[in-house]
Amino acid sequence: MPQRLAGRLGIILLVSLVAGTAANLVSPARIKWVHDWSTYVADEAVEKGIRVVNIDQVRTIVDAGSHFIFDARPASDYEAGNIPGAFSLPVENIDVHFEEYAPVLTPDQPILVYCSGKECDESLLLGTRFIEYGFTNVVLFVGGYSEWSQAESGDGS
Amino acid sequence: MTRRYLLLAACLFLAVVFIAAGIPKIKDPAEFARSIYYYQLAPSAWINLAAIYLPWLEIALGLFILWPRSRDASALIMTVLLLVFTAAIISALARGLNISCGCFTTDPDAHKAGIQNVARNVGFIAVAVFVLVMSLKTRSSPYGESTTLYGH
Repeated sequence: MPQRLAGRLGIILLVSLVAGTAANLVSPARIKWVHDWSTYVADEAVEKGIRVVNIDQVRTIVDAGSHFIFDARPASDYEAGNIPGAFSLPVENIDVHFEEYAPVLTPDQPILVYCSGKECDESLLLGTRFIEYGFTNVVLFVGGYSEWSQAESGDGS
Repeated sequence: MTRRYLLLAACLFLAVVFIAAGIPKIKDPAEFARSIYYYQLAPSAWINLAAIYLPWLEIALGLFILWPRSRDASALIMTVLLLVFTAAIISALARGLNISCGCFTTDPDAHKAGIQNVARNVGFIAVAVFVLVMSLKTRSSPYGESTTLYGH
């Protein structure tokens, strides 16, 4: 009986495999078989008009104090550690939090957003909302706080 | 007799659930791939493959569960899938991710995943396990297939 069950399992999986393959060959909605999602945030940011910056550029921004820096992570993560000079603006309930900063921000105000690292997209969501609000100079640090803290601890050692 | 109708109802219920879950993902695999990405669990290279094949597996399961001979296998895969989905939702909640479930719609702005999705999945798992146990019992009974849903 276990062999027969295995056979039936195999048939179901095979049917799914054949149907999925056929559909993705002919469907107008077909997608790439393999896609590098590690660059998803950067690709989407560029598409939405957000410039992507690296760790060196972030250091320059922090040293110069030229940008409003917003941490898109939950407040508890921000409190545990953040990029110097950053303000907490969790992407959850962004509209409520945004009200706090709106009076001091002008549309051409340079803004930098980041979240925890390459695997998060809160910074993208936050940057996108700034663009939607009419801000024209939004930059995003894809490496986020994990790259920042690693770089800082590397420098310190 | 009652048990047979209960089994029929459970199979029909699971068929509707899985087919309803599969169709929107087949219509928009790119958006479904994004839903999988948001969970931040699957390796990058697997995301599109999962988005291509998972919806068709759901559709296949929804159809095969209606066929008595493949009911046990379908219920077994459904149970495993639902356990994986539920673990993924719990993991997302534990990490504080504010993402949509990606269960019955691929809309990223849809109702965010929460404990209600876990509770719903637990219900689905209970139904799938019921079908699995009943199917295996039926197969091991001395009357074999004749006592299955469409028997007699």
